[in-house]
Amino acid sequence: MNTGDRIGGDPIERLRAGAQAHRRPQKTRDCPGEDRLRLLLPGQVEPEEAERLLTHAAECDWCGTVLREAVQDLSEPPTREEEELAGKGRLADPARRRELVERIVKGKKEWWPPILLFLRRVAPAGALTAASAVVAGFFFQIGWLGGVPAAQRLTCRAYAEHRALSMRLMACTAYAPMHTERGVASSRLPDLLDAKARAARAVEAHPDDPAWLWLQGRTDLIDDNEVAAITELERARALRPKDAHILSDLGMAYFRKAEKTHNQQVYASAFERFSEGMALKPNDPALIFNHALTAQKMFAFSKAQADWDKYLSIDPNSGWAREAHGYADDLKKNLSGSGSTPPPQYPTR
Amino acid sequence: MGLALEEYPWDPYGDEDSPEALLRQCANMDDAQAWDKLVDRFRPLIVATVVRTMRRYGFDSAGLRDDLVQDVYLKFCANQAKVLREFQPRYPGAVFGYVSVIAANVVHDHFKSKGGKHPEPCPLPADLAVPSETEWRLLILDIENVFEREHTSARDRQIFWLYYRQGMSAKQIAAISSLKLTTKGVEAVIVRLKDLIRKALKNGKR
Repeated sequence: MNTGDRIGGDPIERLRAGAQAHRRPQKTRDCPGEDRLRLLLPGQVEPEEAERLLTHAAECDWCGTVLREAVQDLSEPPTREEEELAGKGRLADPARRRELVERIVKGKKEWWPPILLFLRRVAPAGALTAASAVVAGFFFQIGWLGGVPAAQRLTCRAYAEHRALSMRLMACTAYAPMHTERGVASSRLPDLLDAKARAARAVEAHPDDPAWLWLQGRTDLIDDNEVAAITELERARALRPKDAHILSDLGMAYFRKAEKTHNQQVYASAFERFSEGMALKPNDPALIFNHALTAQKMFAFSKAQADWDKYLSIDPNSGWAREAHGYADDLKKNLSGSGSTPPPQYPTR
Repeated sequence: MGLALEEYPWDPYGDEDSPEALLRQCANMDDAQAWDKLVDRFRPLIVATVVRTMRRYGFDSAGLRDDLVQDVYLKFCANQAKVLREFQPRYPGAVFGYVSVIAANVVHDHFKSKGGKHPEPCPLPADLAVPSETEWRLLILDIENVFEREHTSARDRQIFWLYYRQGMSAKQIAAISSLKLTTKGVEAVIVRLKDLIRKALKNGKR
């Protein structure tokens, strides 16, 4: 005999009625922080903690209420009335907005860790400088000064300044002709040196961070060290298999290795990485460009043709598009049997 | 089909104009242009969240609203933009939910620091014969026993209790991204467990 039978009626209806009548929204010692509960909404809590929080909230009337109210308040986009309020608010005025931004950016520049504030008051200037260097070194070590996006921008600049590869780096839009000048080593580029140093320090501090491993691989790729790049990028890929940027750079590293070793198997590895990247980002111009070039090298002419057509529909006018036109024209010649197999030469510095 | 949310391949450095990329740019703290963009871009969302949360405490003044909206941005940049650095874009659109949560937390913290107590919710209206509290708690134990016996997953139990004890709708439960389910997915779980309980308690199995 169970309760459902003891008191009669539909157990589900009785459960619901009891829940309505006997709610006790009281905070207890076991209740988690309300801030953490709300972070369940955008999925910002690790799975184990999320399970603990949800199990608690499902049974605790206080936390259940916090969660329900958060969903009510936060899951709908702004209404027209709220948008109008935003339009009348203080920060709708660009001048007030600028003031706030200045305060934020200036605040950063004036930010001192407590230990340095103390030293600034009591220690002589020399000690202060030394302490600053130590703290700045520490922050640099853990990637606070710059971070991945800044290092990524450095790699884009370095590649644009000294492009030694035929392919496109993903997330770098600037066009640069191929650099064939002898005696100018990529590794002497200041931006590349800077990016390399940042990546090396960050990887040393965080060896399992796929973003920094990716950047380290990219710097080696630009430096024409595809063997090191493949090792680093394969590791980044193992840690984050569905990242199109990692896949694209890894494909480029394999392509470079295939160019040097004339190995069709290695071209196939490059082709697979680009294909995986394109499955994630089908309209990314760099991936399409690289995929097309690899297909052409592998004599997969129909695939290459389709890729170049797609590429030129997305990017019809840039410097990259001029190169794509050149490759596509050469492909047509090959298909008609009148062209030469080697790829054409493109503008160089 | 279509009941569980698909895993989104995280792409942190994709479109430079994406809100996720903007948050990362601002995390560097020295890009005034990016900060200006961020303040402008998220303003309607932050204002809406501030307004809704303030109303929970019975406040609706424009001056306080403006102050709290500004506090949200200052929260973003506090501790070298810790909040922005901690954000993990696990699926498209998560950034908007995250910004809303941070804004709501700022408002709740403000009222708590002023000693304002979050108003207790009124008991929901009951239009059914109500079991005594003892009977109701025994019923909960019986249901838990059924779940135990049938090896019901923790996630499904959470959904069931959020629905029947906390009075959340299937749509509201599906809005909890950590559960990774669509509204249809949540409804399917509720229907399945409801049938399970009815059958089990009707048959008198313990």
